Amino acid sequence: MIEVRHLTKKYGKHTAVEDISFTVEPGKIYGFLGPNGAGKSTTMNIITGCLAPTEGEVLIDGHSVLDEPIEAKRAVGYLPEVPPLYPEMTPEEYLRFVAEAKGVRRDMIAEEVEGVMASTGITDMRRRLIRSLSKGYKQRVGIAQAMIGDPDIVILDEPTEGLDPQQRAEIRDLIGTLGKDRTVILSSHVLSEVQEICENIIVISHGKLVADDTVENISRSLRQDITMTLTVMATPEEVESVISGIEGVKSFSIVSTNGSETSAKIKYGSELDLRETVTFAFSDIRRAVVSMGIEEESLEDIFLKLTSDGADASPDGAGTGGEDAEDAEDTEDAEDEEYDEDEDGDLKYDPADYIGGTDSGPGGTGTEDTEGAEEIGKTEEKNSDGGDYKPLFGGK
Amino acid sequence: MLAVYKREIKSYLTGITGYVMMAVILAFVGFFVTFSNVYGGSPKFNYSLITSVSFFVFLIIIPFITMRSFAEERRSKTEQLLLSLPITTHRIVLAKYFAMLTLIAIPTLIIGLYPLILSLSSGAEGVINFAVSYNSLFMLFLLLAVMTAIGMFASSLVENQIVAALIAAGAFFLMFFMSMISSMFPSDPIVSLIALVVCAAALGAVVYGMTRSSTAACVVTGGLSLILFVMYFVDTAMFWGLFPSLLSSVALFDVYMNGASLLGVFDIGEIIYYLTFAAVFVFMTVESVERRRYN
Repeated sequence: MIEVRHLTKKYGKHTAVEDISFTVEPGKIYGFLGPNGAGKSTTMNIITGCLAPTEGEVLIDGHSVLDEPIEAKRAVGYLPEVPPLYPEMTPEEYLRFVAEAKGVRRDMIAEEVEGVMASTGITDMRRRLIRSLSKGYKQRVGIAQAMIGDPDIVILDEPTEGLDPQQRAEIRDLIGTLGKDRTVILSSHVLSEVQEICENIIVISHGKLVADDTVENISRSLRQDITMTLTVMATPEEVESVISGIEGVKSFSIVSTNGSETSAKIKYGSELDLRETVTFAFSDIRRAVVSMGIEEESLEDIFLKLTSDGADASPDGAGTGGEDAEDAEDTEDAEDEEYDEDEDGDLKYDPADYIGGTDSGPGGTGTEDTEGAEEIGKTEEKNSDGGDYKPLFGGK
Repeated sequence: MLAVYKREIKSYLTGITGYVMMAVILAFVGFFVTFSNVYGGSPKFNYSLITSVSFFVFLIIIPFITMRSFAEERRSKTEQLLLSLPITTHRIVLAKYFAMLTLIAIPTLIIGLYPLILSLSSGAEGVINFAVSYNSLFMLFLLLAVMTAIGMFASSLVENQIVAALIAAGAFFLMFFMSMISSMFPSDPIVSLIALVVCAAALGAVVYGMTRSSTAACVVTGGLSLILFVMYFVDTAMFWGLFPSLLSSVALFDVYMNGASLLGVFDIGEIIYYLTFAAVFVFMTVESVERRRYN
């Protein structure tokens, strides 16, 4: 377990991290999110003892990183932003060195190195010089290094940065496996990745903690409205009269009529679940609901909200979603953007495509694509508003 | 600690650098020994080692050996691995230091064969004295150990290894000519006072460089200056020739070249002097690396 208490790090007059506190529970995968320069690496460096905080402390399994560094560091494997590799060594030599340095028992070293090489898939590269390995393999060697000694906690700083889509997917799988029996903290600004593998996310922006919760809770508390898209075998008039009779509906519109089917969009507060109510309301007048879809915000919309300059002032923004009313409109647009990317379907080597959430994993929030290309104009407008995050959010 | 030591040794010996450095040392010393002991027929092996000209090879080669030690780790970010390992900083520093000493010990041991070879034939002026020869070789190794510590400290200050090498070489040359420099200072007490206040200011600058705290720098400079002024007015006589004599006390090379090694006597004081010197710089390297966490 990691306890981060009131962490502050100043570089001269510049404050990189300001009063961050959070707790990392054992056995879970945590996503550490934030735009570039938010203080992710600084925080990770402090947790692993590579940097000392200006104020505050970090406890790992009850040991202070500053006062009992050896005990604390023994529990942690760390992959910094730049994998700390010695180019003149082979992966095998390098991992043996790390194993020895971490104090793995002499008779266990060979076995340990063999096991880690197998699970990171670098066994075939064991006798090549690290210098001559591809970026993906270097990253794997870096992750292998963090896994050596079987630490309870593995901290990975942007492990998939700069890799091609295939390599990203492989590293993601590897992290998923890693997280089965230990705590993993993973920093990233590739959101779909975090959404896919992490159970909890910690969001920081401008050196401050803006959210720390499960993926579901964060999306729930921040969500403004849920949009339900509905197709009913009924006339538009019938649909209108039924929906207007349902409590909690904020607004609705008839999208299209096609013969006997009518499609409508309903907006309601995120605290409600109107799926049942709507279904029963239509069955009361003996009309069949043909399809029903719920649009939820994807993580990147939430992330944008949390880290946008307007929202960062409130450290507990996660709990008080209502304040961010001005962002409400943006949300929908940003989401549309995601689906545009989706429909393009081209998997270029561009982080933007990744954020598009081309694959939704088990950890995803189960979004459904109901509209899309119609609002491209708006999407582009959003992009230009994106400010700092433009490259992240598919600035085309 | 052993892991870091072994890795360091390996990294010197897998590439060509380690071998080139050892070869240069052996070639240079070998040349002087051949010139004076074989060709010249002198039985005084210690004189060949002490010959000031042969020293220049060490002034240059030691910075080349030490420059990588910390600067390179910092540049390639492997420093973060070392800092995140469950090893204390002083063990990391010592492991690196001993690795470099090992690299230097190899040619020193080979040089140790020279007196044996020379003893096979008596020279024109008599036979070789083993005690004197090995004593001077031992003192040479201690001197190189001090230089290595200074070079390692320089490497821990910067990220660029060339800069680290230049700092170390600059310091060595300054020390090499220290007796000359110290003789240029008049013995006047006021000169010593001014020079020492300037040193206090320089120390303040170093403190600022390491901590980035202007308060700490001011406290160091101000505090030391104040003490110096008070001492000056209490006991002016004490300042008579103080600075020149302080300068000569850091004349690392003079101690070797004009001391026991030359005379062929075993001097425990000189050994303690070198060991203290080396320990101070190893300690300062630990502090410098440790400081990095705070900046």
